[in-house]
Amino acid sequence: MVPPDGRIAVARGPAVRNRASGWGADRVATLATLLAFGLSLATFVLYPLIEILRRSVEGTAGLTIAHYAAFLKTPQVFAALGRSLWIACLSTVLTILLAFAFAYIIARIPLPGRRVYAKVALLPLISPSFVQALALIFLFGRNGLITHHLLDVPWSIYGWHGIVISEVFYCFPHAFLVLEPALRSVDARLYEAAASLRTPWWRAFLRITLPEARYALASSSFLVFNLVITDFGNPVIIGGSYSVLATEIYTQVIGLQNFAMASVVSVVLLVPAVGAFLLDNYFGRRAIASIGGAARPYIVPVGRLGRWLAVSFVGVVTAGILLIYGTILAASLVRIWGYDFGLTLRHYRFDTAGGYGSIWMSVALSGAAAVIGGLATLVLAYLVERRRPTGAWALTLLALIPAAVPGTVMGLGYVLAFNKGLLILTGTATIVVLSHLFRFFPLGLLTSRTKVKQLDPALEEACQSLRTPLWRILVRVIFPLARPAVAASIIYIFIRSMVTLSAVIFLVSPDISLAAVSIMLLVNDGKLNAAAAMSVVVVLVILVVLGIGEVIARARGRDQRPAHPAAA
Amino acid sequence: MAGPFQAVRSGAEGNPAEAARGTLELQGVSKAFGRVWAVRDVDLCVPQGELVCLLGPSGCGKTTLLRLIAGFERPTQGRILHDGEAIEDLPPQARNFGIVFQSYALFPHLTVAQNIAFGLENLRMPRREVQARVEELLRLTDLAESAGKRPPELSGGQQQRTAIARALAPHPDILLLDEPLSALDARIRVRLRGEIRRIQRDLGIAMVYVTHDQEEALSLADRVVVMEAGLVRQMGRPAEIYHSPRDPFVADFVGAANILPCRLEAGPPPTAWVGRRRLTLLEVPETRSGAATLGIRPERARVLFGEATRAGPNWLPGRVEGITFLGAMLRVHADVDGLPVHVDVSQHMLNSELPPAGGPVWIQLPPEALMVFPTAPPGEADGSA
Repeated sequence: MVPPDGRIAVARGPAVRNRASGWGADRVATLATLLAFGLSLATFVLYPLIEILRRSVEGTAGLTIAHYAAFLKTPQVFAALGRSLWIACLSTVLTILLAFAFAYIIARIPLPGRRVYAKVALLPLISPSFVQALALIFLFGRNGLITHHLLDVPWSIYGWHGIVISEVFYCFPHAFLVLEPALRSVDARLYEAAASLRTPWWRAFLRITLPEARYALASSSFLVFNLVITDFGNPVIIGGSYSVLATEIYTQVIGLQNFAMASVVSVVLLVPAVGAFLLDNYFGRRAIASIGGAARPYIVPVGRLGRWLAVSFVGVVTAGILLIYGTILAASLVRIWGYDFGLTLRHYRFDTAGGYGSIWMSVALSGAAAVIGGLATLVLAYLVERRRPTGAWALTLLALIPAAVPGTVMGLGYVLAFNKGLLILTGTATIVVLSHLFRFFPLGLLTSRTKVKQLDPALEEACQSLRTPLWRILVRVIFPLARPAVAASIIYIFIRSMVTLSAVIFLVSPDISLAAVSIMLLVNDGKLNAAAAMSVVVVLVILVVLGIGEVIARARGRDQRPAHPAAA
Repeated sequence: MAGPFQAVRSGAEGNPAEAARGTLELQGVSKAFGRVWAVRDVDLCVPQGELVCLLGPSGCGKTTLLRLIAGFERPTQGRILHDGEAIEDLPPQARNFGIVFQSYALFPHLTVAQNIAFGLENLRMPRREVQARVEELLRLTDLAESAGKRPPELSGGQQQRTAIARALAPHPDILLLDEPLSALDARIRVRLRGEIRRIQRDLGIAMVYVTHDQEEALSLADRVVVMEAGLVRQMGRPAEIYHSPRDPFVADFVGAANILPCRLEAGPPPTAWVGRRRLTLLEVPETRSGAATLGIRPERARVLFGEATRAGPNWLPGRVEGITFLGAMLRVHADVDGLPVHVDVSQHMLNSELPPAGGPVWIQLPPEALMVFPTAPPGEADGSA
């Protein structure tokens, strides 16, 4: 029995029989963490919405439908519903047509520089949602470069057409991001089989391309519909007197102090917004499920003419996007747009409207929300995916609700909910951070969940059998392995928080001014050049953060190889 | 159980620390997933120092049984006792079993030494002791030179040994291994099998080892538990399982076997009819007559080509269907009255040139090599012959 090299000494260590090794305490920690998540989600997601619902039916004596009746009977308010639906439908159709064609070309025609085109197409994602509208005003407004100076036509961009054009540019990258992978993942063998059966190209398009892309088409359509109908920034800047539901909420609150009517409009807006969100989710899941791993991308055999048409199309679209950003940049650098095109940097002084303070405030509050959100979503994703507690679905649902809720509605809910009782938060930086945090929690959670799901489930079992406490699993195992996903969530939440306007428009105060809101106020004051300058600064800040993220990701890239083929 | 493990056990009893590790006992353990019974009514006893292999085809419930022991699943019925205490409701953290996963589940961002130290740190062991223990295990598993490497930089075999070291570090009472070698090349597999056996003997620790590889089970285990469809088909020492399988399934799964339907006659002399051919048996179990099954291992049957002298009983004429080259052996695929019979022969034992396919052949099924199962072969109704 005794081996020659004295290994037996190794064997006879103290038998560790510490059965009460803290797993009970660990269970308590798990439950307490889940409870904390449940409570904060209920408080900061559900409660504000309930408050809105309550205010919309609250009369002087009990429940009433009087506010809803008033909504139907007030023409200028009721009209906003029809306008919102019209704008959303028209923008959706136009965006999907453009984005589908663009995605088709990028995915299937090997043009030189197509990566550059794809990158440019994504630019609108990293800028305040209303820069489109701002640029259109510079180009086509009353004093617009094109309408006034080049053509001198008495045509104004303000109104529904201006909103629709801005929305198309704003939503284009979102639709592109759904459609492009779907088109790229259709297996070339289908087309080769079709060709061997002598199928004409138009029939292949109708019978293969469209059916294979149908879920992505449906998903992106509902996504765009939701984005447009909930958008506040573009309509408020370029809509003029053409008010939609999202801006009507703002008018009712800021202009008329009519919180009951604002609540009714919010409830009305929630119906199409949530409906579109649910349909987007439903089709989106199917679209992702239909993307197989082994497909060989199809390269469309195009002739010279086809290639020329493709280049012109993507060229025109990317030129349009670049024109928007070029205009903003140019406008920020000239003395007075339309009158004096002499170069100056004075618009970057921001003497009014918060100045640089509002930018740093935005950076600080967005950064706080992003870091908390990135880490919190990882913890929740881990608990939901690996501990599988009862009621996990309810927690997840609760966390995902804000993705469906229009920002203006969320903001109104926060104003109504946290203005009284125990939680008086209005006017503080805290409420802004909370609003950012919970509004952009859903995508952080989805990113983290995807990552946690990819981790070998046996890692969790190994941790359990090695009696690892919850906090140690999170700090030593889950966080290091999910670091890229956490970084992605943090960057995402940061960017969205920097550029959002709708949710925080009601939450700013004299002490707390934010860049996005300042830009809107500058536009309202007619200081368009300064608004452009601040937009440029916001985009630069985001680019810097993205750059830092990229550098970190590259540096980390070295030790991101999978451990074991089976665990990968 | 008698035999070698008894000796190991008495050796372990001499040491109080080892004796405290206790015996694992399963009593009527069943596990249902929805309406499917993955494990049915398993009784099993793993005394200290024994290496038990759970062997079976995929889906037989062997991994589920291991997960029940580990605590990742709870039994639907039955009890699991460790050292006399019921543990079936305890979570894995409270069981003090080491586990080696099929995918190893090493922490890819930690070094080998950090992986091994991981469980020790969870026990709040002082740093100095952790370091000493890690060094012991690095030596035990021959990983000292790789201590600073991370799993992705290791070979499959090194990853495997790291997983074993990590599981062993906190002095588990029992080590559970789930197909630990299945991801490795055949050659490394054989070497590591020996390593695992050596470590197990050195530590005198009990192991429950899941595998679908019968060769691995036979060469490694003190005791083999053959499972199929959630049931334990047979339990015993490797030689026992191999030489006296209890039923045709075990005979065919553990080592290859020719399975022939037959009718028994108690005799005397005890006889089996395979079709219209008459075979002499040594004995007929339970003096039962009627439909039954014969089994014979390919290497225990004999083969003669041409009309050489045939000594002894039970020679059957057949035709050669084909011959497969297996390296040291040749496998002759023959057809005897429509039944396929495989015979393995060493090349130097052949009495003549290889016959062409379709050529005549004589096959002997020696009485002492015939395994008699008093049930009809699987898939054939009783008495239909």
